Amino acid sequence: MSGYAVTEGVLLKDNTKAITPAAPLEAMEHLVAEHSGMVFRIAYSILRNHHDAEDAVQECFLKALKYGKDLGHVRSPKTWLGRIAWTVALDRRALQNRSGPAERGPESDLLEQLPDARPGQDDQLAGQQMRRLLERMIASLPEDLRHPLELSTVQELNSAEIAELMGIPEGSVRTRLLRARKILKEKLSSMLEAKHG
Amino acid sequence: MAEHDKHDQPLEEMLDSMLSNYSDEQPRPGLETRVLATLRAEASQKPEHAPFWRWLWSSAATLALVAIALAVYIGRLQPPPAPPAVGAMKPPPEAAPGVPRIHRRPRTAGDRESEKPERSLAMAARQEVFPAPVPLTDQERLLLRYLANTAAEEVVAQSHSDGPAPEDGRPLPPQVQEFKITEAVSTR
Repeated sequence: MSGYAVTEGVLLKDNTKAITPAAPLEAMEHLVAEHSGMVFRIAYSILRNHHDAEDAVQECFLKALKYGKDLGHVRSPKTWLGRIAWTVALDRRALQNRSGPAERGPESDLLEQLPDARPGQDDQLAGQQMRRLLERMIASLPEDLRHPLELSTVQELNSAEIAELMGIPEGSVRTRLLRARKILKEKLSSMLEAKHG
Repeated sequence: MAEHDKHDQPLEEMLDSMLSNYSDEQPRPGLETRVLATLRAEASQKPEHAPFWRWLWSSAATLALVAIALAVYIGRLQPPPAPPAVGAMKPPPEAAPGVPRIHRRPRTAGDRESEKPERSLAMAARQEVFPAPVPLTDQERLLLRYLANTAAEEVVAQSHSDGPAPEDGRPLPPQVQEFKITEAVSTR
């Protein structure tokens, strides 16, 4: 492990070019331009709220700025930033849950509100309802299955990057994703059967 | 099995469709600008603090060095302290009730042997007659002369004014008698 330093679980090379004092901000500008969208979607996948997700993005990049001259040593900025965003969002969600957990009614209530997929129905409304239903189903998953599933919904991340971001083997990510999807399908199936008989 | 897969296929597609839209959100326009503005503000605040702390540390280090140099200089100017007087020595402080007392090492035969020469020297210095014979002082001579020339009953009466009178013919103390004889010889 000599020759490397670990920062936020991501390996940093120490043989890269020296960085001038003005460089960290320039490096951050580059990182913001390239990865702010992914950082936002990771935060949004967990917080499910635009405003909270944007706050998490700000906090994430501020944390990244604190690494200063070490920014130039980051081997994989994408997973490094992804990990910071993920931990920031998880902390915020834990804080929200502590301050007052959102009231969650039974999933069947939401299903009742779902409009039938008939022509002429408001597709946007149906999409929103489906999304809220999925949010509740995912929220009911155990944590070890929920985290990889939430991250897998971010298009920019593949299973290898999720594994690096979470610090677990890639095989474990795939296994957990399969188990999470199986549970979701079962729930969805039982709810649809209850609705349509 | 095939029927199960056939039943599972629509659910799989539905779930895929739901999950694909789950995080497919775009931030509000201007997020990058806001983030960069925050970062620039944060970066501009940092240099203001750095020189202050550097100045504080350097001044504290300089003050410490000056204090050490002064202490060394004053220490050299002062004479070495005199050994403490025996009377001024204080007894060792009593140990606190909870603190275990430190026991001294018991004296060994070697310690006793090493003390022997000192003790023999002290014994040799001891004189044959104690206290050492010294000539009488003027006050002692005056007192003896007074006792020799004064009647015993008068001396007793002066020393015990309230007590009963001494009997006549009581013998004088030998020192007074001896002084009387020497005085008589010298007057002749």
